[in-house]
Amino acid sequence: MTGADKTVVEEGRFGRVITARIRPNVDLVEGIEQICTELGIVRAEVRSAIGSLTDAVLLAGTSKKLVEGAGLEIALASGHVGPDVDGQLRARLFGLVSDGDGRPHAGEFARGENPVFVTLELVLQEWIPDGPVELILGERHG
Amino acid sequence: MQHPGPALEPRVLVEHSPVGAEYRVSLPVGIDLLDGLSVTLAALGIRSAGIRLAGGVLSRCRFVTGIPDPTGFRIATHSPANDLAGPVLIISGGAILGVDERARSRIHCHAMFTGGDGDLRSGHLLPRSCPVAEPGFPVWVTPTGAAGFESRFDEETNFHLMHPARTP
Repeated sequence: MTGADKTVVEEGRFGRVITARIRPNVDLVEGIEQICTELGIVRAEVRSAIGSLTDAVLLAGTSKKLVEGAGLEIALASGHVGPDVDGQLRARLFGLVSDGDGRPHAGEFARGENPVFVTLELVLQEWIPDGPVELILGERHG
Repeated sequence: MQHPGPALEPRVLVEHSPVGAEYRVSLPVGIDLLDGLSVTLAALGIRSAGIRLAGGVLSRCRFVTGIPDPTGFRIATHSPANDLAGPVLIISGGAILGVDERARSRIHCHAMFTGGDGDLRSGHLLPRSCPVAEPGFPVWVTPTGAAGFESRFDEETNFHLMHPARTP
């Protein structure tokens, strides 16, 4: 059984609450990674993200969709920050943007391809696991 | 994208605060969603927060989207207000609560919703125009403690925008 086959349960607690503003032309995903790097945060959850993007590039399955602005409101965003399989800090943001006609477009925000248009207002919260606990076939193994 | 003012530094502004309590607010029928939240949270001493709308029903709503600014003062502006007849089902949404330069509550809310016609829409909800239609509209609130949000004029974009700010 590989690590990807296991259910991993983290027991932990929330830590610092972070308020942030990302200015125009900074990538949404990379901006969140920068915030966490500067504060020494390894894991975090998005609590609220409100703002706009110049254009949006959204991933969904094998599709990669460009939604052209100018100016797309972020109507909903959730996501998390944590280490990837290589240990690199990565943010993954999922959400929905509305175009000028109020039509929604949804997906995962592609890293490096979603520049902030006017502003992004953000509340993040640090997640501090006490240690991983793996659940295999319903049994707890510390 | 070139805004009318100079590009200001730093490009990412950050404050942080120790963990605090979380709140679940249930709003009653008839109260305006955004004003009701601001007043309720102010009564709890919460002036800045990250907010998540967990889904609920409004009797109507007014919202705007982003459009190019024909005057050139800003790169974009809000569209004329759209009035959506109810029942309006809020699928999900988020908001940032902060204060302006005179310490008055300000709330910035974007949401995804359907109107009485069932079509899915999204946009920026306006205060005093989104009354709750069914009891117990649930909202989750993460107060930001001493790492608040303050709305002030931004010379780069010519908007009043929320900025992280230390609060007493």
